[in-house]
Parts: sequence; structure tokens; C-alpha cells
Amino acid sequence: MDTSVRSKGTLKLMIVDDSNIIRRRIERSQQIARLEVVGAASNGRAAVEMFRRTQPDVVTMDLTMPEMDGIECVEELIAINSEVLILVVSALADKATAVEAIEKGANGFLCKPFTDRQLNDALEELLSEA
Amino acid sequence: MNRRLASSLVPRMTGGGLVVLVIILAFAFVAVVLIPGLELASELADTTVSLKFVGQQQRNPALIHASLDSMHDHLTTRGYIQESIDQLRDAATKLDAGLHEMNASRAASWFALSGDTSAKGEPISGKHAAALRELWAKEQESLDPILKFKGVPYQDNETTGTALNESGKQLERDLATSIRITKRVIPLIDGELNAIVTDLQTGSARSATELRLVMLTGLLIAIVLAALVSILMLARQRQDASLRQARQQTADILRTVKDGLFLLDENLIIGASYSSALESLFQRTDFAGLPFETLLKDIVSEKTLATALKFIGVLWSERTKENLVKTINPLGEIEVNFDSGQGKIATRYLQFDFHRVRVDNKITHVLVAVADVSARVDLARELQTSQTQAQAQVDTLLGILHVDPTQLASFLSDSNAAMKMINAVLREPAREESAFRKKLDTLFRQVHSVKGEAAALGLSSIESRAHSFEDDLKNLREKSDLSGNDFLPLVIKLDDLLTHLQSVGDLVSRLARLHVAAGGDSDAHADTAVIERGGSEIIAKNEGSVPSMLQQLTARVANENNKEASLQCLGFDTVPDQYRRIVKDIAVQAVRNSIVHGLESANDRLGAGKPTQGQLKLIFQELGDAGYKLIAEDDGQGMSTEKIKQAALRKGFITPEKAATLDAKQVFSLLFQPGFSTVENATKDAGRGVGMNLMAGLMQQVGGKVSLATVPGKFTRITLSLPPAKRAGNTEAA
Repeated sequence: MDTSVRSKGTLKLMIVDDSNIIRRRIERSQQIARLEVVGAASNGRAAVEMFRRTQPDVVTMDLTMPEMDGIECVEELIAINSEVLILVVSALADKATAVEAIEKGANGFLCKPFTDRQLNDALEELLSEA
Repeated sequence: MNRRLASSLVPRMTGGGLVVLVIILAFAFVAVVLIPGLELASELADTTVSLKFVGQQQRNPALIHASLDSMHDHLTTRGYIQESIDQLRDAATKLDAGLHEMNASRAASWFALSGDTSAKGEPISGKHAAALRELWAKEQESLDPILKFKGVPYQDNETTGTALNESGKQLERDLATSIRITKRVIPLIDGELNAIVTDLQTGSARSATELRLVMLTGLLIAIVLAALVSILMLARQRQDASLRQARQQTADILRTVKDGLFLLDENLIIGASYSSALESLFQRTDFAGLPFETLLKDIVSEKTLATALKFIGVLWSERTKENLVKTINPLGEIEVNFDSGQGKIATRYLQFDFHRVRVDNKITHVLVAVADVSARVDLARELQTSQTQAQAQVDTLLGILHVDPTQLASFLSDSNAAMKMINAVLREPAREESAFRKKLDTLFRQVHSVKGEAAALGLSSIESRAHSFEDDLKNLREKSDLSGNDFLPLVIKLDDLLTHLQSVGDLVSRLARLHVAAGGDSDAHADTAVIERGGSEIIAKNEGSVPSMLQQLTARVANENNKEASLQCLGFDTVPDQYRRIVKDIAVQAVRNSIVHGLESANDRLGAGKPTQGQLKLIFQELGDAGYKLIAEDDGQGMSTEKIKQAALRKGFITPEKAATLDAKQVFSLLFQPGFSTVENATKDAGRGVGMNLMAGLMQQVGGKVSLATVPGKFTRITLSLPPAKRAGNTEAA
């Protein structure tokens, strides 16, 4: 697929979540050597703006956020860069919403609450070739 | 061709490669064997014809020679020569034609191969043609005058007899010349003809050798071809066999595996191969070609179905990470209800797993594995239940620890008595509807009383069980046609309650032993010793504890109803033993009624100009010969006859016509009817409409009276008059 993203050395990560705690949690816990956090946004609109500016390769995305929700945001980000890798990180209250996010182009789903191990495994899987 | 060769060849050369080789060899066979063979064969046939032809020509030179000799003899004897001339002409003509034929070039054959010496255009005479032509010309020249001779060569003379005439003499000379030439030339011609025959025979032999060689080559190619075809067939057979074996194995797996397995194509249609388990899982057999949507339609909700179809849809997208969407599989655990026959519904839990199937790195199908996880789900539920039970036990234990041991012993004793009574009532035979109703009322009062005391002591596990028992009783009350069978489920509830009460008793005993072992003070020792005797025989003497129990109840009920209340108890130390239980039951009921129905919320009280905290009063008075009096009073909102009437109308206790005719006393008496309540939904504390009825029932038992005084917005006061103790019967509900 889009080997161009994966063949890059360092990949830029943007964290989108309306909770400050979760944003810091992801930033602190992620231990993928190739990932470098370039920004964090607390709502969809801010995320789109930051996405244009920092051009990240990987995004972790919350679904329920003010201003613009995660699903809409996924759509916008993919429209800007179809090769971006998006991991939805959300509580599994409604599977239908999660499936919809995947349908819009997100690559995977990580259920809140998560352990450090689960977060890193999910990111690793997201960056894997297969 | 042995198997090892076949198997060693097959891997190196694919079936397709072998087929190409066979085709090439077949063409080679045609080109190298069939065409030259045909050519050589026709050449051989030609040569045979030529040999025969030359053989025929070989006779003619001798005939010429013989004819000339014969002519010469006839001429010498003066015989008849015309016959010889004719013979000579015939032979010469034939030889001439024959030689002409031989010298003419033959037609080239169609398949003539270049480089073949015996090939195209060569006359039969070959290199001898020129010599033959020359020799024959010489011979023809000498024969020519003889053949042209006409007439008779003799003349008759009387003296000499018959003599040659002039032309005869000339003929004789020509003949002599010709014979001389012929003697020299004919052997030469013979020689040339013999040489031609030899050449032809040599050529024929060579062709035969070549033909043999070509045939040998053909044979070799044919053997190789046959070998290759055998290999191909063998390989095909082996392939077929392993294919059959593989198919059989697949069928075996699909027949035996416990999971339901099938493939979905991009249109979400189920494939033709699926595991047999699927049929028992879904109780149908028409899977091949069935849309997945149809399979799910009847067993999951519309929303789940829509999400599931979307979910499978995203699996086809390369963007989706298969392992990162497993948690959002909407069919991870679904409850399925099937008609298991005889109108029974079987509930099962199914787990659907989806796996992409890739061929040449392209997603071609989604493999669906359906497992029956009912056992796992049941186990999880059991675990949950046992956890809840364990938690409940801990709660009970904590509850018990907070309760005064004397009160607890008293409660257990009373409850056991109530249980015995309930059991007795349930066993009592009854046939008529009215008897059943009466039974229900008695049960209700007993259970309600247990619930009330448990609530007062904060024993929530007992309280909730009693509440649930009450629920069942309430449902029965609302049922129109009661029969003995309706009471059967109650036995189970009773058993549950009884078991729980026993386990609480057990816990209490164990705690008591623990207490003894730890060596408490003498008083505590005395208490626990009493409890240890089983709880049921003891009557707690310490009546001073009833007010404190009521205080606790007040605090708890007020808290649960978001109200503020304080209770004042007076005279409870003078309650005689006979009335102890009744007074306690009524006091509990009165406290709850007052807080739930009587007292307003803190805000409302402020609005009405009252202190936020409601005041409850429970006063027990000894009246000497007149018996006793229990007064329960609150400073709440009082009761309006209108409100009671409305509730009575709503519940169908009275008709609208009757409502109009009722006086205040009659309206208040409605309150004491079984099942009456002004509250719509029952809570633990009130609303079942049993409390006032319970009071009335208790009073009836002991021959007492109930009176009620209320001023809307001010207060409610219930006064219970009890006859003197000596007149009272046994009030213990045993």
C-alpha cells in the first residue's frame, strides 16, 4: 500500500482527544522509537488546522469531541492526506459509531481505557506492513 | 516409466511445459519422419517402375541384332525378308521410344528434399543419357536405309536362278554395314542400359537405407512421445489423487469442526462450502448462496445487523487493520433465541469471528467462524452471581456488625416466627377465592413486618428479599382468578428468605463464638450466650433498644426519601411483653408512613413556614384499667379527604357515585383497607398499601381500636387503643 509513509524514518504523530489527561497519557506512554509527537488537539476543528500545519503521518483520534466530532475529523484528514494512518482511541459505548469511523477511513480502533502495552501494540500494528 | 522418474520430472517441469514438449515432438515427428518417409517411399516406387521400364528396353537391342542377322540369312537364301524388316522396325521404334522416354526429365515430386541426388528433373538414364543418345543415333543411322527399303530385292534369272537385283545388292551392302555397326554398338547400348539398371538399383538401396533410418528416428520420437504422455497422465493421476485426498480432508474438517465455518464473498454471500456445525448452530440448511444479511436478519436487532454489515464491509478495505478492529466486531457475542421444538425457546450465545482470506495478496473472501459460547457466557454469569452473592454476604456481615446483638436476636426470633406462620398459611388447604384472598392478606402482613424490621436494623439483604416476596404477593393480589397453583412459586421465595435468615443466624452464632473466644465483658458474654442458643427462643428484654432502633429507622428512611426528620419516643419502657411485638411493628410502620407520606420535603416545609426538620412523636401510655394507648404523630402535610378519595377512585376501591356520599370518617377508613395507597409506585418504605391495613389487622387481633386525626398542612395523628394486658390473647404470631 502506501509504502511511502512507512519507508520514512521518523513518523510524525498527532494526538486528538478532548481530555487533557488522555492526551498526556498517550504522549507519555507511547514508546515507538519512530514516532515523534508533533502536536495535540482537543477538538476536531483544531485537529484539522494542526494537521494542515504539521502534516503528521499518524493520528490518534477520539470520537466524541466538541466543535467537530471524530468521525467528521477522520473524513477531513483523509481528504487532506489519503495516506495518513488513523487510530481511533475511544470508549466502546457504541460499536456502530466505531465501525462508522473505520468506514470513513480510520485504520484501527483502540478501546478506552487502555494499558500502555495495549497502546503500543496498537501503534505497532498500525505501522506494520501487512 | 517409474514413479520416481515421473515425480522427479514433474516438479521441474510443470504440466503446461510437458504439454508444450509433447506438441513440439509431435510436429517434429511429422516434419522429420512422416514427410521424408513419404518422399522416400514414393522414390522407391518410382525406381521400381523405372527398373521395370529399363528391363523392358533391354530386350530391344538384342531383337534388333537378331532381326538384322535373320534378314541377312534370308537375303542369302533369297528368302522372304519383309517379316524381318517389320520385326526390325518394331524393335527400333520401341527402343527409340524407350530411350526417348528414359532421356526425358521426370516430374519433380512435391516433397522433394533438397540435396537428394535422386531428386528432381533427372532423367532415368541419368549421366548415361548422352552416351546412349549418341550410340543410338549411330545405330539408327545404320538402320535407316534398311528400314526405308521397299519392294523386292530379287530378280529371277533362268540361268542363275533367283539373284539379287540392284536394290537387293544395295540392301545387302547396307545390311552388312549395319550388322557391322550393330555388332559394335548394340553391346555398348546394352552396357549403358545395364549401367542405368545398376545406378537405379544403387539409388533404390540408398533410399531403402534412408527410409529405414527415418523409420528408426520415428520410432525413437514415438517412444519419447509415449513416455512423455505416460508421464503426463501419471502426473495428472497423482494430481487428481492428491486433489481428491485434499478435498476429502477438507470435507472431513468441515464435517467435524465444532465451529460454524463459511466464506463470504464481496457481496456478502455465503459460499458453497461450509462446516456442518453451521446447520445445528442456526437450525437451517440453505447456506450455500444465502446472503449473510438474511442469515442474521431474524436473530439480531436491526441496528446490530446494520453495524455488522458495515463492519464486514470495512474488512475489504486495505486501509482497515484487521487486528485493530476486532474489538468493535458487533457480533462478538450475540444472544440468539431458537425454537427448540415443542414451543420451547432455547437461548444461545454465538460469537462471530471474521478473518480476511488473501490470494496473491488480494482480499478475496472473509472467513467467518461462528462459535457457540453459551457455556462461557453462562460461566461468566455464574461467576458474576457468585461474586454478587459473596458481596451480599459481606454486606450482610457488615450489616450485622452494626446491629445491636440484642435487637438482632429479637429480630431473628420474630422473623422465624413469621416464617413459620407463612409456611403454615401456605400449607393450609383452601378452595375458595375468598380463602385465597385472606391467605394473601395474612402473608402480606407477615412479610411486610419482617421487611420493616429488617429495614429498621439496616439488614438490606433480608429487606430486599422480603421486598421481592412482597412483589410476588402484590402481583397475586392483582390477579383476578386465584388458584392453589398460584401460590407454588411463593414457596421458592419463602425458601430463599428462610435460607437467608438462617445464614444470617449462622453468621450471628459464629460471630458470637468469636466474641466469646475473644473474651468480652460479662454483659456481652451474657448476651452472646443467649444468642447462641439459637436466636429463635429468645425474647430480648431490653426494650430500651426499640427507641434506638426506631431512631435509626427514622434517620435512614428520611435520608432515602430526601427528607429531614427527628423522632421522639416516650414510654416505650412500659410496654408489656404481650404487646412488645405489636407495638414495635406498629411503631415501625408509623415511622415509615409519617416520613414517606406525612412529611414534606425541606423546601416545602420552609415554604409552609415550618422548620425544615419534621417532628415525629411516638408515645406509649399506660391507662390502667383502660389498657394502653400508642400515639403516632407527625407535623407533616396531614391528609385531605379529597386526595384519599381520588386515590381510592384511581385504584377502583370506590365508584365515583359512592365517593360523593362518603363522610370524612368513611374516607379515612379507606386507608385501612388492604392494598390501599396514595402513592403510585411502591418503594421499599411505602406504597404497597399494606401498612395501615397491617395496623388495623394487628389491632383486630388484640381487640384494639385505631383512630385517626389529621389537619391538612398541619399534622396527622394515629391513636391505637390496646385492651389491658390481662385480657389480651397470645399475640405472638406463632
